Amino acid sequence: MVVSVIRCITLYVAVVVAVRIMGKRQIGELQPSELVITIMLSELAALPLQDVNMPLIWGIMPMFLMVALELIMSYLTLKSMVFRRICYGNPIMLVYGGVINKQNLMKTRVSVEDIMESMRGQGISTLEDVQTAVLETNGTISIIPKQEAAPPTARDLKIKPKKDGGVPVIIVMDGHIVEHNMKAKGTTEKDLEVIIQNYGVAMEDIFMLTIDDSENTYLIKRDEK
Amino acid sequence: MKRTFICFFGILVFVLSVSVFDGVFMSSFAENMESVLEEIQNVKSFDEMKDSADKMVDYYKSQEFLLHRLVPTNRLEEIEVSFVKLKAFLEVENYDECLAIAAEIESRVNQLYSTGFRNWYQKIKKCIG
Repeated sequence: MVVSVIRCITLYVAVVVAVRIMGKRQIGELQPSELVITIMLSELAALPLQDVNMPLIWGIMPMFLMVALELIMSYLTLKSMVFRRICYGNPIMLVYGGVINKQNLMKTRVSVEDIMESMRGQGISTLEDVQTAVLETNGTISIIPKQEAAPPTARDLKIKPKKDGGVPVIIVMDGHIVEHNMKAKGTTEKDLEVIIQNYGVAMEDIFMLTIDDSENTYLIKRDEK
Repeated sequence: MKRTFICFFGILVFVLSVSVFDGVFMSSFAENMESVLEEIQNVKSFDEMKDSADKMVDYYKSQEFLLHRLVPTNRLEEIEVSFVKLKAFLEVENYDECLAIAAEIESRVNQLYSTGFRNWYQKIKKCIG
């Protein structure tokens, strides 16, 4: 039993480290080679977990070797367009100017229903409104609407938008200062004291305090619901 | 990119060091086991044979921790069963069976994971002369 627990913890840590090394891209959009690696990682981790006769290193070694191969693969695809095309393929145009490219549809085995589903996801109801639909290398279908069907932008309406406040950054979280965010934002402890004083709360009563590029602050107290 | 390279070389060092350690350790284990087994096969008296068998079991026990990290347990259990058999035949002083079991242990040791590299190396060495 103890052996299983130790193995479980070790393999869990190893898989987390392996996935972390492979990078965040893995979680959202999987390319064919990344999908293969992800599936195989779980299989490799499961083997020594199920069979206690098998040495732990038999699971960990191939797991990290796979990660190394994936790193080589991603580096090569980053540096070489040809290699990228061979491994991941090209994006394929499925619709252009509202007209379906049946040949590409057959080639990629994508149904009209799949395109309609992606269109609905973007709030487009008819094919006539689609300028281009592209099957991306990670399997998603990108839809670009025709100019007349696209929602108007500030540029179209010729209005000057208000200055963007940027992304708010968390400065205090659960009563503790987030040092690296404060440093990145260029906020000093004195500035923070002034902000907190303006709100009239103590540091330990703050659940979250954010500051954006325009120095707008937003505070949530601990007891606020 | 720098972090990716560090991770990559870290993995490479880990994999290579484990592989090299595995190869070196298994080769030396097989070599030592073979030399004791040779002793068993060449001795004349049962007392000497018993001493050599004890030496072999002691050596095996001293290497057990690392062996379990590198070799599946069931394969090691097969060798341990052969040890028990050898001891039993030594007790009843059955010379032929003792030799047969010693040969069996030798073949089991040679079949262990990654001792194969050592056999290839020896074959190549013989071919070269």
